[in-house]
Amino acid sequence: MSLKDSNITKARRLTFQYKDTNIKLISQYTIDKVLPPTSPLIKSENKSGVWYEITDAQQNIIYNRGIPNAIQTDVEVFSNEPEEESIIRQNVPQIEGTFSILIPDIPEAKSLSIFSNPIKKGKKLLQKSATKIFEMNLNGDNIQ
Amino acid sequence: MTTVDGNIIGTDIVINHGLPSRRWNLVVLGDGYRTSELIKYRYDVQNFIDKLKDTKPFDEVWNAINIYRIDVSSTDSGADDPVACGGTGATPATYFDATFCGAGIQRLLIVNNTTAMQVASDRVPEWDMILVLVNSTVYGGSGGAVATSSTHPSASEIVIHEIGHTAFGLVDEYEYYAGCGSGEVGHDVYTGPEPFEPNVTINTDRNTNKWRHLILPTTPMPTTSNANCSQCDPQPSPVPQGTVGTFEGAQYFHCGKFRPEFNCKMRALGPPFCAVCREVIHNTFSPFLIPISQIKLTVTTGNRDIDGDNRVFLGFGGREFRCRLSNDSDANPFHLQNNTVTLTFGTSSNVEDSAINDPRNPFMDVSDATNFPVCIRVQPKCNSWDIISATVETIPQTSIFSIKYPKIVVGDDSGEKVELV
Repeated sequence: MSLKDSNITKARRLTFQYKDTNIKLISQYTIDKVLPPTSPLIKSENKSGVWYEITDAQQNIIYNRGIPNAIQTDVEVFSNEPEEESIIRQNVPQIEGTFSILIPDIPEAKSLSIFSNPIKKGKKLLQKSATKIFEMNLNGDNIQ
Repeated sequence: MTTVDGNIIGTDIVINHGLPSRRWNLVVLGDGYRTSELIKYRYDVQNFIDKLKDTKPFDEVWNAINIYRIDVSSTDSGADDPVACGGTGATPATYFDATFCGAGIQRLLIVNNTTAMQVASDRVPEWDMILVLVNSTVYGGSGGAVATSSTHPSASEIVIHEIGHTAFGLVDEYEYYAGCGSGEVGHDVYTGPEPFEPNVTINTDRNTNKWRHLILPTTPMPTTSNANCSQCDPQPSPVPQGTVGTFEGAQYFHCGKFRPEFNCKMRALGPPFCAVCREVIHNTFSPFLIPISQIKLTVTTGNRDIDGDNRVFLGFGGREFRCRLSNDSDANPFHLQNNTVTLTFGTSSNVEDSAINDPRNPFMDVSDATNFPVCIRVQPKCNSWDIISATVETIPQTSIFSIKYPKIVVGDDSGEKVELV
């Protein structure tokens, strides 16, 4: 089942705190809310990047969205030169912060997973295949 | 330098296109504005809104967006500006504790994200994106869960780039990490797998590339190749601006990753979003737009005649729809005395030229119904058209519009247009 064209009107906001690869859910609430459409429902194997996905009871992906700057291993630095190299990146000394996502609050949604390229402590995201760094049962139990 | 250093004054919806549950909601918070500076804050917010609306494709999906302004007063004005980064050493007491020099980087303007998210969630639980506007003219900003921007004229470009990341899942398209002239190592050739994100790829096959539907058959693939992967590709674009293809050098690698256009707002501040990014933004906003599928106009005439050759138009949603029944020899369907006629535009259309008199094409959002005047116009101007009643209804239902004064005579006391309210 794909949620791409369905009319999702209930959502759950999840707010996380992270330090290196340790991610902790710190708050959640449900709201009446239309959500953006899912990204293409591709299998998570052999992809790079940072995203979250919702699966149903059969482990089928029913919703996913990219969150490229949720876990900040580096930051953008802006110059006064608007034409070229107006942006560069620089590592941050500590990988820690908070981020928030909206997920569909529907009976079919059973599990939330967050994928990321491997994070080497104190380093930028490695350009390798993403792996699951967080999983949560949407009935409320933190799996990992 | 915490929430004791100020107060939440109030929340205003400054761009209102409907229920927050049905729209994409941007929440703007202010930091470093004293109570006496909140008028300036409102002006600064409006400046940002104007800039956002001027940025394609936000103007095209504007009806999908609500913008909330939360007025927050701080004890002091401005933001921390540490000496360590060459700043003034100022440490004003502000509600969100804004400071330049985040992570030791001069222009990195950061705030207490947790507080910002808490305030936004308390006031607008349906928020999709949070911007903290900081009362400082020093150039700076940052992205992440909460975007920040100073009031420097160029800082709004930072915010819009960061919105690209946070709201639309777009990644950076620049082909370097620390800069082309930085001597950076480890960014020569990308050998990893296909990126999840929509605007960078390793795939230059025109048959399988993820933005292949935007690539013309005549565009070379790859469109550019970097001859020396130890550095950024110095060549200018070989194709006209706006050409979609695969340009080598993207997301921090000189080679091996490709971007969709030569330039884009996700590559540098200043240029417009490329076509691939614009499409992603459009798709993201699509559920937040509520299309009008049908407009129904019902007119009841009185005792006076109007020429059957006169043309009649319905003004609705900033457009005019030609009012003529299909297969009717008379141009004016309302020319008979004491008669009631209903015209339907869109779904179950009964009008002539239905394809060009359709609220679905081009798209019309429900908020257009109330954003523009509703009127009936007759051409040429006549002096004797008696309208007993006229109503306009839509699917989905917006408002029911009726003529304000029943039994109005067009061309007599109201000119050639009759407005419906």
